[in-house]
Amino acid sequence: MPSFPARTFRTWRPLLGALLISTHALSQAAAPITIGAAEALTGPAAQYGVPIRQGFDLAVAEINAAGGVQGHPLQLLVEDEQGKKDQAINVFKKFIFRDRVLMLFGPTLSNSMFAAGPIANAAHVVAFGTSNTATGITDIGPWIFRNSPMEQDVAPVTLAHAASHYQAHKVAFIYGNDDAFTRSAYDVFRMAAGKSGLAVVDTETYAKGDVDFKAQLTKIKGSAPDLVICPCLAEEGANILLQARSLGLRAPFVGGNGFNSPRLFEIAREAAEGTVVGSPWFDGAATPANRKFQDAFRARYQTPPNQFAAQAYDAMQIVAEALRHTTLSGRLEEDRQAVRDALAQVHIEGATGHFEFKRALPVKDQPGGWDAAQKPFIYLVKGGRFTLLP
Amino acid sequence: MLAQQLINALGLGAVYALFALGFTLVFGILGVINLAHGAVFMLGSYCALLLVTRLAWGILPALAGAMVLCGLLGMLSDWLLLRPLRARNAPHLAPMIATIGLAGILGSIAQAGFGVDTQRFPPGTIPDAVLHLGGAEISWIQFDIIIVAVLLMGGLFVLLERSPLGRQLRAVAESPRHARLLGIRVERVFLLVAALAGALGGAAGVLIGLSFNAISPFMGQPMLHKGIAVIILGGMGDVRGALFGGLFLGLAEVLTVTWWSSDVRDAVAFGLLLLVLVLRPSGLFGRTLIRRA
Amino acid sequence: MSAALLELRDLRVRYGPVEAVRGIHLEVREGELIALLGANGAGKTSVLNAISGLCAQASGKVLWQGIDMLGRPAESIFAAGLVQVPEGRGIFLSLSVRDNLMLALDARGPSGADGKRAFDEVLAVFPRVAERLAQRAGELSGGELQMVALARALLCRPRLLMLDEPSMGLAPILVQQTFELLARIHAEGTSLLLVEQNARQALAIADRAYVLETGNLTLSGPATVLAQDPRVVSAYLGG
Ligand SMILES: Nc1ncnc2c1ncn2[C@@H]1O[C@H](COP(=O)(O)OP(=O)(O)O)[C@@H](O)[C@H]1O
Ligand SMILES: [Mg+2]
Repeated sequence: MPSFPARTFRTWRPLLGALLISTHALSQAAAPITIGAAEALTGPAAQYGVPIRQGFDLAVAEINAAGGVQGHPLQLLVEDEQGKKDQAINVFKKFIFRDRVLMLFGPTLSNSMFAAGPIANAAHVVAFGTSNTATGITDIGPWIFRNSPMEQDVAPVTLAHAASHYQAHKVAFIYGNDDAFTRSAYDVFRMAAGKSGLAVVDTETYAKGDVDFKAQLTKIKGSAPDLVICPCLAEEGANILLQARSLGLRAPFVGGNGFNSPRLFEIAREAAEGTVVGSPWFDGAATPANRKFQDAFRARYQTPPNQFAAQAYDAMQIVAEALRHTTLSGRLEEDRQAVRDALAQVHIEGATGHFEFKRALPVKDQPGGWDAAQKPFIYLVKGGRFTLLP
Repeated sequence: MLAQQLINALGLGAVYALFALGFTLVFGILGVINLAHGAVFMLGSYCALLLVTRLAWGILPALAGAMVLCGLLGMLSDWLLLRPLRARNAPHLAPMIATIGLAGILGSIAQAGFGVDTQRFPPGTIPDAVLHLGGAEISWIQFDIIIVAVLLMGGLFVLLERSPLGRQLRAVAESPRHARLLGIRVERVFLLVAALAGALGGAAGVLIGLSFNAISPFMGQPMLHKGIAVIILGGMGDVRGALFGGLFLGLAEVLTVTWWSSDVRDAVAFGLLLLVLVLRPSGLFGRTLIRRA
Repeated sequence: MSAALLELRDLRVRYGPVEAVRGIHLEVREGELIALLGANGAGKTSVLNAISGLCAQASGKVLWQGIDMLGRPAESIFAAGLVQVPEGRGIFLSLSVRDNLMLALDARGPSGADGKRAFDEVLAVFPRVAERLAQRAGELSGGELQMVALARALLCRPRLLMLDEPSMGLAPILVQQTFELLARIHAEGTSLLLVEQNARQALAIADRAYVLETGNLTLSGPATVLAQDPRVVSAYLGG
């Protein structure tokens, strides 16, 4: 990923915070519609937050170039929540109460959404996550939306494909147990394995920041599984794959949403061959919306987009579509409610395919938020790239 | 499988030991818990990475280059940060806090300059061959790390225990004031130790970056936690302790995974650490240096 | 009258707001043994440390063979031949006895045969030290440590040897031995500045003496004269 001069500046002025206002035409007559985005632009989660911001910026530029929505340009305020819970809470509060934005995007990590989401929900402002896949995110309340499919929806499909492709009966797990993202992914894969009658022969864990996984992998090798399920992030996963192969553990790997990055085979190379991954987005999908997105992204950033950029881009399009069906009154509380109501009705053809929301089930009679209703793509790593698993 | 696990433990322990060497040296002689050691370690990785990728250096010259640069960084941080604090006779906590600040600055510089993505040496920088030792496997780089850790520890031990310079270092460690009364240029010794520790930290960064294929601005932090555990285990400030503390921690972690569960790995490893502290407050290698005024 | 080897002119030492040494004048001539007497807290240690370059806030002049050394780093003062055995002796307890002695030789720079000869000569004077070379200094008794400290000081080839209360914490028999050794070192031509609370024995071996009280020199003169002075007798010699 290229590094931007603006990022350097921000790093040096963390106390000031980073208020980056997207380019928009000042000449447009109507008042802009202000939306806040709290994403991790520095820190380890910046590898997701930065492409997310790129996806937003691209979509906003396209929407405004086409005259905005109902004559209003979109104005996106972006702030760095650093991938930290407390920072996400601060940014959310600032957007809601000081900048008085219409709605919010973010935060980047599920952990942070669990912390900051309740604030938006209580203030009756939409918080729209584009990258949160943990179970329970939308249990926060009816103001929480996400277009990132839950691991819970993707994992069973992925595992079923992998098990039938490899005719597997025995599986082993390795995952990071001190992180909400990988834990929740583990939980859903574990449940999926149980439902499809796969025998779990070993379960190993590691901690954030670990780089040596050999002890766990040696133990997994001893249990001779047909598949190793590794619901973790691509970087870590690639290193786990490399170490597994160097120890002579040959079983194919199955990954969750975190594996869904070209980094996986760029780093692990041959070691990643045969890995099965589920994804909400497929760069090879030949729909017009996907083509248009990828071409525009490459033109703007001179680099191919990833899933996170695609989901952020779609999320902005979803909001624009909702706004097209909303009449803004200028009274903030009413408008925030109107956006929420309109969002629930949206269906579009986006870069990630056909999209609409589905209502999360109520928890203890409390109404839930809105999850993505989308069919995942299942990949097989073959010849150093993602191919669709038939 | 046990043979493989013992090799895994040795490899992991050597990594911890390698990191802890410079860390313990600074503590032993400057009396400072240098919480920037993880950042220096991280920058060492990046230095070598840049030398290899941008200047097409071989890995050995790049290792040397990283050691020199990290040595300079160590000196610079001692000169700009710790020396003024010493001159003002600042309370004990002050230098440690200062190194936290330094770690933050270096981390931000790395994030700004290199980005937050994990980077790695290009394939083929080192042979990725695997040695087969009767059913167990060990990669070349791991083997190298074990050798290097032992050699560096041995070299450092000989330097400290057998050379005039080492004698002076130990004297300064015990009492800088009394060392000055014997004509020892204490500030120069401090500078030298900072350089040495920086170079050792840089070397550890390069080797571990090579071994685990994961160079990132955040790689120092978890290592720092283990490093603290290692030097407490081994006996604060003792170079032999760094090696044995590292191996002990590596062994404790791997055997916990082998015989029990990876879920309790850190709990057992750090539980053992507490146990050692209760039974032998000065660490396995035990003699506590008490610095006199 | 020979020229002064060391001359302190209006030496003052402060610790923040406290003035511990308040403008003293003191001279040590070549070959003299000078005693600097005074009660606890009088400022004796501060005087020695100011000479050795360990006091940040010292003013006045420390003339060493006519050249002002004040403000120079400790190591260059040491290199000029001003060697101090500090309060508590300054032995490195975690180092072996040999290493403690070798530190003195290191300070001379590469010396080779010359250093070896000096080492043997000094050990001949301190046979007990020779027996303990391989031991960690921390395992030695107070008397043995005293010997190591003196041996190490001599290996530094002092032009002026300054000792800060060498008799402190020693059994009477060892105190006696220490003063005998100092007298012997003096007799062999080394100049000494001896800081002591133990006035009787210090005066017995000194040529001249100064008395320091709360940072001011109150008395000075030949040791034999001071030993008879009623003020010294009542205050320091126990009547
Ligand atoms: N480092 C210091 N900081 C503050 N005050 C000091 C320090 N060292 C000595 N003093 C004070 O200076 C005075 C003289 O002390 P010192 O030179 O040690 O006397 P002596 O050696 O004669 O016992 C004492 O009042 C002592 O409390
Ligand atoms: Mg004193």
